[in-house]
Amino acid sequence: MDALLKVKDLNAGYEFTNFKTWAVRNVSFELNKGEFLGIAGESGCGKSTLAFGVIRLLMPPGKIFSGSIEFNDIDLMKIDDESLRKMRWKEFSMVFQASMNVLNPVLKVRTQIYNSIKYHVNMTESELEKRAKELLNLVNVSSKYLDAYPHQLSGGMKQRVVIAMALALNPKLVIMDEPTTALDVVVQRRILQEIDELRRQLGFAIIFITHDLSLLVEISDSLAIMYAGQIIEKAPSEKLYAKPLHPYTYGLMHSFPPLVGKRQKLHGIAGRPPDLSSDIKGCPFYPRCEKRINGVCDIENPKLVEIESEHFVACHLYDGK
Amino acid sequence: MNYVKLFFKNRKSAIGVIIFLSFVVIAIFAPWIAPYSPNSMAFTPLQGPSWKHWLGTTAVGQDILSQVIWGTRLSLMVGLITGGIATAISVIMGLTSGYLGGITDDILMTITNIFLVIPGLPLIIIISAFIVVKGVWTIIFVISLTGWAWGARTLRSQVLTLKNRDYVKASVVTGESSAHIIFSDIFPNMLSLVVANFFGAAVYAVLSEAGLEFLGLGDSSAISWGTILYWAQNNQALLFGLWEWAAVPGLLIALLGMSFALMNFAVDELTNPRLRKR
Amino acid sequence: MKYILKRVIFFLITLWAALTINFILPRMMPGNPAEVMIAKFQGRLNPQAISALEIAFGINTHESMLAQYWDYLGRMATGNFGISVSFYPTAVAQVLAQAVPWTLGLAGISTVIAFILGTLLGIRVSWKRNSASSSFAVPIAFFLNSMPYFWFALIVEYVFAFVFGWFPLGGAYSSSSGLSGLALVWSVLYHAILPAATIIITAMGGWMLTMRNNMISVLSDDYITFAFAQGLPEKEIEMNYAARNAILPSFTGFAMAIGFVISGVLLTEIVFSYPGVGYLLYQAVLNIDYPLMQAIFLFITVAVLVANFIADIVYVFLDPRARSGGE
Repeated sequence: MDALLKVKDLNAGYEFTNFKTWAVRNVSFELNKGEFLGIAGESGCGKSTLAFGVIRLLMPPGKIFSGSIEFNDIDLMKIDDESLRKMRWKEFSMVFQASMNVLNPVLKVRTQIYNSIKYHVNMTESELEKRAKELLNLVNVSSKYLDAYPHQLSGGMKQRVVIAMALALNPKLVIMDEPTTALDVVVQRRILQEIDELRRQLGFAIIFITHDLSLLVEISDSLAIMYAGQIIEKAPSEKLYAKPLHPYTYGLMHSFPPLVGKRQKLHGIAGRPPDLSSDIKGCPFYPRCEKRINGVCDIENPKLVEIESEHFVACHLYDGK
Repeated sequence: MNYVKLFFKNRKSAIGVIIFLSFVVIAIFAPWIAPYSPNSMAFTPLQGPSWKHWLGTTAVGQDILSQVIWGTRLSLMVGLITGGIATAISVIMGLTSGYLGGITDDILMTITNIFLVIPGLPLIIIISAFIVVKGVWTIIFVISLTGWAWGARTLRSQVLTLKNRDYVKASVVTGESSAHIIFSDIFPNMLSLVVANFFGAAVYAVLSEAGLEFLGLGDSSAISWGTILYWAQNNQALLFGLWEWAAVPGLLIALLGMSFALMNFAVDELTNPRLRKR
Repeated sequence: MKYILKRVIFFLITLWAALTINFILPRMMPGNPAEVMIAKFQGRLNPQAISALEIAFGINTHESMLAQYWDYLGRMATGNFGISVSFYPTAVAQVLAQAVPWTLGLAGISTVIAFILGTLLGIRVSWKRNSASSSFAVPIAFFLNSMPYFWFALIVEYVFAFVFGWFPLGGAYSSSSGLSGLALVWSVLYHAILPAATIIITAMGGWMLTMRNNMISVLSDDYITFAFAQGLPEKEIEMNYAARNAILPSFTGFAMAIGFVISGVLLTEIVFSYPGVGYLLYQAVLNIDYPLMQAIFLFITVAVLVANFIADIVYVFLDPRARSGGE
């Protein structure tokens, strides 16, 4: 298959005057055209940093320390600001957390949709209007809201408008950073289904960031689990769901109520993730792991290796040590 | 918290603290630093700067440098005391209004907004003009009275956010007294804002005091930077080419004001994560 | 609309408060200071004027405080501010009317210029936060902002009017008679340059620092990052996304800021002997002319209230959230 995005050895984090955090540590992965990749992990595991990082959208103090990001064979780390600006939205767009105030409070929805289009393609006023209506239609928002201000929309509607904007230029990749988190469960599910339908219809790829694994298992093609800035397991969704290999993945899956089947007692994972501003020796999950191997796991950080076809895991339980 | 440490590491506050401390040292050791008595009229009047009188002499033959050094005391004192009183009023108004809410809040906030809108200096001028007995305490009183409103407003909104924090709600549920909640749950958490406010009020006080004395509404026999400027202006120092007489005290007022402003900004920067240097 | 109505009510309450302060102050002071004033002008005022003053300040009266207050409000409502003792026998209203245009012209124009320049500078330095010019501009703004305005005025006057002689030392227009038409306009502008420059430079620092802080705060808002994600041009983000939002608190904090500016204007006028309200206030203070002082205080309060009211209207215009009722 064709890879759309190739991320290699990405290190990113936040640089303050007196300290630095490495929120993303040596992350490598590939994303195919039209693929739906879910990235899951607890809050603070670096998944949002990764999401912003791969499209070079980390705002200071956020920073990419090293690594390469290739989008459609263009190295995003090497291109100049203006070319990057032109690629944005046209090639890849992003939907932020619904809780965030992503829409400019002082501009009408119309202006904001127009802006997202008109700086990339030449369109007349009436073409813009036609496209804006089309987009709102796509996400089931009445076009009468074109002249509304963001504060006049409900949370769900705002998020739909943002999704509509993200699709305005038919990008090849849409990154979604917990796009439904702040919404209520019913709206969450509905929006998610709509997103998936749109993807099938329009054929863009999605990187979907969430802390709620249960949200993704049904619709994403593949899943990556992040812990302490690293991808510790990645596999096609069914595989990962049926047979989680990493003890952390296993724990994560059992800390959410299952979607199907009997309700069982939840057991969360004891302990806290490590501090990302310090160096971590050995496996970052070592202190919390129930299956740790003393003398191995606390010494060497396992690499992400392909155990079965397309099933990657970073754990000493599987690398024969 | 390590805010105190950060406060001294921050470049803005470090500069502010250094300027401020220099003035404190000058104020404390004024009798030893000043070459002459500030009131002594033993010298030839209206001299320009010389080795004997670095800043020259006044129209009645006083040494200006000595006056400037002694003047530090009064200017600094008025700034600190007025800043303190104004902040105290802000805290009381802000806490009461924010914590009690309801009609008390409405009334106190209306009063605050009125004081905010009524222009400070003209009000100070008119009050001082009616007060027959002029003196430092009159000035402190008048400036405090007009300088608390902005602080009260910012502190109130801080109280409103703190009131909704879990630990405060918990105290309410467990039936702690209002006084306990205000002083041990809310107040400690707004200390930085109170400190920032103090510095802000101190800037206001230093500048207002100078303005008031310059207009002759202070006690013109006391020695402060403001009164030195007043006498300089009254004797047309600048037109006689004695520019040091007016330039130096004004510069010092600006420096003192700036040191307070820098410390104010630094506290703001340290406690408001958005303003923190990236 | 509800928002505007609330502002109108507040406007009226504040006006009433200012009127009441004027009424209470002289009556509250031990040894009514107005009596001292009347005694001082005894020989120069006619009996009618004296009794009018006595009524105004509650001396030798058998009326109750409330009745006095009621009378007083009536007089204020009809614009009867009494007679100026230092400009005897001219009415206070008349004296004031001559000074007002000068102040409105000088203060109005320079405040608007200072606001625009300061705000633009604030936008620039926060957008280019790490540039050399920013690290240069911010400390200077700090210094300008902590300067006693009148002192800066003195220095400006000394350097540019006295030492270099480029500008007149004071006044509002050339005293040589027979100036008319363009020559007069030119003379007025020429005299206004130094005081205006003083006000602009000192007030600008404050606006700049305010705008810079607002901008920095807004720059970490999500809609800014989102705007970058959309690949909008920097200029568009800087102005229509960041500055457009950052300017809003400048309007809500206008009340305090304008107070500072007014103080600056008053003192600047005094230094430059500019025949506006500030200079008049100074003369009133020197001559203990209480009726004139009170009228000036009222006028300044009303002027500030009006300025605030305009700021409120502009704010409503700029912030759609205020327009639809909520705050």
